[in-house]
Amino acid sequence: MGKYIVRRILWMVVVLFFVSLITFLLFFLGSSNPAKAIAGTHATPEVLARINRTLGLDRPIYVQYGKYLWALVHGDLGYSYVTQQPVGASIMQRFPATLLVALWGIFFELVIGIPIGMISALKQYSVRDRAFTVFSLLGIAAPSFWLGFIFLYAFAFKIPIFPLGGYEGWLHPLYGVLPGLVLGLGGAAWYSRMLRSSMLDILGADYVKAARAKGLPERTVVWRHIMRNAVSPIVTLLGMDFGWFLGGVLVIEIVFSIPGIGQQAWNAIQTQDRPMIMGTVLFGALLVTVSNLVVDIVYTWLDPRVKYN
Amino acid sequence: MKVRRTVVLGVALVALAALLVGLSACGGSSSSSSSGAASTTPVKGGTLTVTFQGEPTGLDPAIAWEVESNCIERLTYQTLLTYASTTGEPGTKLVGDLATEVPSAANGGITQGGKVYTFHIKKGIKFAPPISRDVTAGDMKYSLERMLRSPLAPATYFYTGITGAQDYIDKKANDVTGIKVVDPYTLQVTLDKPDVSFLYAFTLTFTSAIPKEQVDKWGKKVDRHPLGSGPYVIQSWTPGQEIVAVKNTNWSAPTQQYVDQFHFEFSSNPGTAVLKLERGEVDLLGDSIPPADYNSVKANPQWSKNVVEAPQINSYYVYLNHLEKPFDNQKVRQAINYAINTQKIQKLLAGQAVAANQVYPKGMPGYEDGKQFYTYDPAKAKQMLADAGFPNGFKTTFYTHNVDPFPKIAQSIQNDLKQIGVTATIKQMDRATYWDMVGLKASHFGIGLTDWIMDYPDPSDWIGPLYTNPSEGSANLAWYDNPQVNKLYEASKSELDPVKRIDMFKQMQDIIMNDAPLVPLYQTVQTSMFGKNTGGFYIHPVWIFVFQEYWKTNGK
Repeated sequence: MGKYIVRRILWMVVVLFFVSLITFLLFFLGSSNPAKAIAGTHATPEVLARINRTLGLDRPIYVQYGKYLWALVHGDLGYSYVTQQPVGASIMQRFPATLLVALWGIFFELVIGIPIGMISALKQYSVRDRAFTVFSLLGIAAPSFWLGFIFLYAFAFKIPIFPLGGYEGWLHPLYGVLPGLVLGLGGAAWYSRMLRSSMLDILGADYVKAARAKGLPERTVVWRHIMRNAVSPIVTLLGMDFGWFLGGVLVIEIVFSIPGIGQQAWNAIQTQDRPMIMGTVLFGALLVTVSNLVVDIVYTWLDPRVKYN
Repeated sequence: MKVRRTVVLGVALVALAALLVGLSACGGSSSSSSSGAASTTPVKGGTLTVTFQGEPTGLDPAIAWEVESNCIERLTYQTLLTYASTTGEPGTKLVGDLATEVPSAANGGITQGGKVYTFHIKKGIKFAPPISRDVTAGDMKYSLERMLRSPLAPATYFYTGITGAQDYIDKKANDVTGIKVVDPYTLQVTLDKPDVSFLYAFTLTFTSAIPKEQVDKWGKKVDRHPLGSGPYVIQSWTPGQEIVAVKNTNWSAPTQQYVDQFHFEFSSNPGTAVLKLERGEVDLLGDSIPPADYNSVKANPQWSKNVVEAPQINSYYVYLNHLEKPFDNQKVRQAINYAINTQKIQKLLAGQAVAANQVYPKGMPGYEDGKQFYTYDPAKAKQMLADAGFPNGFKTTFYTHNVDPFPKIAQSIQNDLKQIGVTATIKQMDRATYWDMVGLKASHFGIGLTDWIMDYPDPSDWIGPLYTNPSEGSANLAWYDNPQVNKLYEASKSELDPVKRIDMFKQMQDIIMNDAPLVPLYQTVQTSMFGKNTGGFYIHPVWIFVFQEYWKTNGK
């Protein structure tokens, strides 16, 4: 197992290298002039040329990439063209806000999705099952910005249980509830459908019949036999979702005024702030690959047949 | 089944909790009473909270210029000149900030026909603690030279007309010979050539007085540790979240310092900011009221009086590139002016814009009230096209970027052009690419949308960059070059009589509108909303926000 993890980490480095190369090259595909975003549209060509020189943007592509890579392996993600602040520090400074919302999102995905999926499977075609099906379809179809504003208006303005968006640090976790709920609802709908179909598959399996025949209590049959197997696809989705949530879901951050890395990345894209965009992309890629690794390790616990060597 | 019971119980608990909280909330709605009419006597004390969706990129006055940076810089820093603290055109009048008065020919501040400017600095204006010493002419010289040599300074082009400035920037000299410290409170600036509009360049925050000690202490990080002579100092800045500003205890003027603290909230969604303001959690919106909320807020009798609207001094227009056929034909350009329906565009932008009909926006000196150069007349437009040799119209491409509201304006114009036989295909691209390509000969953008936001409220800020001196990458997207306009423009630089000078700019506008290198469309309207306890709020025609002039009516 140890060797497996080491191998995976080495592959992670390879993946990150290619992510950095491809993202870097994408900047040179279209026309790219960050100097104009920094200096404004009134700036004269001389001013723009000076800014380009200062930022090293007049050097050939391979020189620019080489410099970037050299700094990267030394842990230096560079400085934002727009704010002149170190990219790494800026991302880490904003990450806790995104993390709070991501954790609430995962929480709601599981707390809503799993019970609904289970009930739908165990009471297939009942009234509850059909009601939950409708809920799932709505949850998947509803646009998150619309849901977000409705929740804000209902649960933060009309009935002021929650704050009207914003973020005040981890000591005030309630700020993450509504955005997490909106984030989680869509995923919950998916999870409930997946769990339902996954459980329905297993319900007809021989070993379930055998367990029941042995006289085991239904609770044991459901949890130890059915759920442990049915939950594999959910674990996969969870890993991917977590990686995606951690990258900062822009729509949620904008609707709920969350100062996370999603909004920061969006601002960076609009101003062609290459170091910030590169830093955020690499950070997101790192989170996704690590999440996938964790998920793969969790599988070995869930299903002892899974071995890595 | 246990799961079912748990789920039902959980749902019931949540519903009960919501009901209880809902009931308790209804009873305790705080109505911060305001008499309706804004009080006119400033009240001292309290915290004023302002929301912004964006955030300053930095607070180094030599570099940062966007709205958020600019209005917070104006809290902390001062410049030699500023504008009168009032609304409308009177608010575009120059007054002294650090300077005792505006230099003019009459008071001997402008000499040698507009080449030499002498500023007298008010005595006793101190930088904030811990520096706490007088602002001097030496500080002004230092600040200007520092700005000129800042590698990322975006606006050095306003100041390269100062004698010796370019040599200093190119490191061929150790100081700018044209900036002279006559005595500790007198600064003299000499230009290579006379240029009366130069006074406006001293209102820009790029010329803010910054003490050398602060720059020596923080180096590049001075953009996060500003210190000036303005009425407030920055106490803390949590990136992405908030800036807190507190009083500068060395501020000695009787005005422009009322609240104890400013609290700027960033990354704030403008839609929820309106709700927060209605609840009293926020005192002022830094962004315009979103179009979706605009109508409901204006219709609400409780809040309609808390909305302030002011046209902004900017121009949104269509450029007609003289280098691209058939826009090299004057009759074609004039025809297009008759073809575009600007009232329709104003409706499209529902309260956020006012239709424009000339080069200068309303509110700027030079604007000719009541003058209508072109009217909406598609029949006349069609006739003119026929006269120009295009009886069946022509095909062309209309260029724009993809940020709202440009795409829908492009569509409106496309429809208007179709009525006169011009088939325009809209070519849309992302904003950054658009601003890169527009203005380059190789792009061949014949007709498209553009805008120009003022640097300062003087017609020279329009004529110079937009209607003279076309070159690769310049803002003169029409590649317009008229010797008559050029001559008048040069003459205006040394015209010391302000009335005669504005007259010259009116003449320039008449010539330009006749040549029709543009189709004026609209100027935007800033719609700001202030809370029930916010006093003294107004929209300044140049600065938009002058936070130091506002107060809390309840002193909290």
